[in-house]
Amino acid sequence: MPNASIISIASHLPERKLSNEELIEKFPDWDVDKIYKKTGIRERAIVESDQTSLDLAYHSSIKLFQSGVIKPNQIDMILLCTQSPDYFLPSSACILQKRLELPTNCGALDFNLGCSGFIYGLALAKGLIESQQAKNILLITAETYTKYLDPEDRSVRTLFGDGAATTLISSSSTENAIGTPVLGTDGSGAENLIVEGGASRFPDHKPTLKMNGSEILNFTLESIPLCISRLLEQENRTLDSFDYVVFHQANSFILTQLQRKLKIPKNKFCINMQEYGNTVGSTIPMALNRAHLDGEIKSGDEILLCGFGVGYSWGATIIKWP
Amino acid sequence: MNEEFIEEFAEVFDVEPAEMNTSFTFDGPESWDSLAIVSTIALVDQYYDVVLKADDFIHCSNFGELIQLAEGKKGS
Repeated sequence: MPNASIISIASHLPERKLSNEELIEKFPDWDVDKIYKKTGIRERAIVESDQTSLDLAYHSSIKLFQSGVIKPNQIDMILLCTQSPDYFLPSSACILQKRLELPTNCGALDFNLGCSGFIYGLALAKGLIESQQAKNILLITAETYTKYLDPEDRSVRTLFGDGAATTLISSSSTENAIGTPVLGTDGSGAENLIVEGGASRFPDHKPTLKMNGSEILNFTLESIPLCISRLLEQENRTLDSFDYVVFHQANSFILTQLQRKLKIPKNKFCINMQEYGNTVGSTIPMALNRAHLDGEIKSGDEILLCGFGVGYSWGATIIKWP
Repeated sequence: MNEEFIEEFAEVFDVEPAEMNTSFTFDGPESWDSLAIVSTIALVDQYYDVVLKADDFIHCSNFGELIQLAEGKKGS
């Protein structure tokens, strides 16, 4: 049976930046240091009104091809994770197949998940490769949540930024390069992070993101330690046996709570979203790339990944860095 | 009561640690901003190992009631 392995990651951010300095002009009772201290974010990348998640996905994928790691005609599957698609239909992945000039024998699908999306994408890619339905998969996470934000809602405007990441996952002889994931769902939390308007239930309402931050924190503190325990039990491992740990980079406040609660050594725990904010499904691949550039991870390292958020939906797995 | 907990909780409300005693009064649910709520959930989890719901503690009339709530949940 073939194994699935992450080969390379490329990412793309919009050019326009929203700094903490700009935010305090709008919300003068906050200060720059307070925003940074609580969120770990200095600036976010924001799309212009005529840019979409599909555009970001296109650019991150072109960067991957430009790196020379693979040719477009070798790709046989696109898995595109987004909650801000260009259209209700067709799938963004189908349009992307044409824009990237990928072969027509390439499968393509969108899947609708947020901050757990990268882990679910790894799970799908692993299944498709191990069952020999695909050999070279583009797993793309692309979001423009900022289009959904109420300009007056400072709690979400400080957190979210736009961006996309393209991860190449290929059939490989390396053993267990993507481990068996642990996945979870609790739809009882749906209303705590939601965009209600614009779709079938409330077609006449403006799509606006609503977040209950305290409920999201409760969910995270209760569910993620259990998710990690399940993974460690499944793999018969301990947390200190990993070279590095990358959780969804929601904000530094939540990450610090999880690091403390799970007693993960600080030097092995990634907190890095200061230049782009919470880019939803792309935070994990972006953080992995940054950690590699910064020398925090090297080839062969075993890395524990965990994504969690809107749904509620969560997942964790282990990868071996290429 | 853990002194570090008191110091950190005082920081949430932007008062001196000496002012944060069991009779420190909260001014009703509207007085809790979102940052104070999530900070309180995190601190109680850190020092009492219990996860409180915001609705449970924003109605506490003072710091002493909040401590009782946390200790009660820990013991349950």
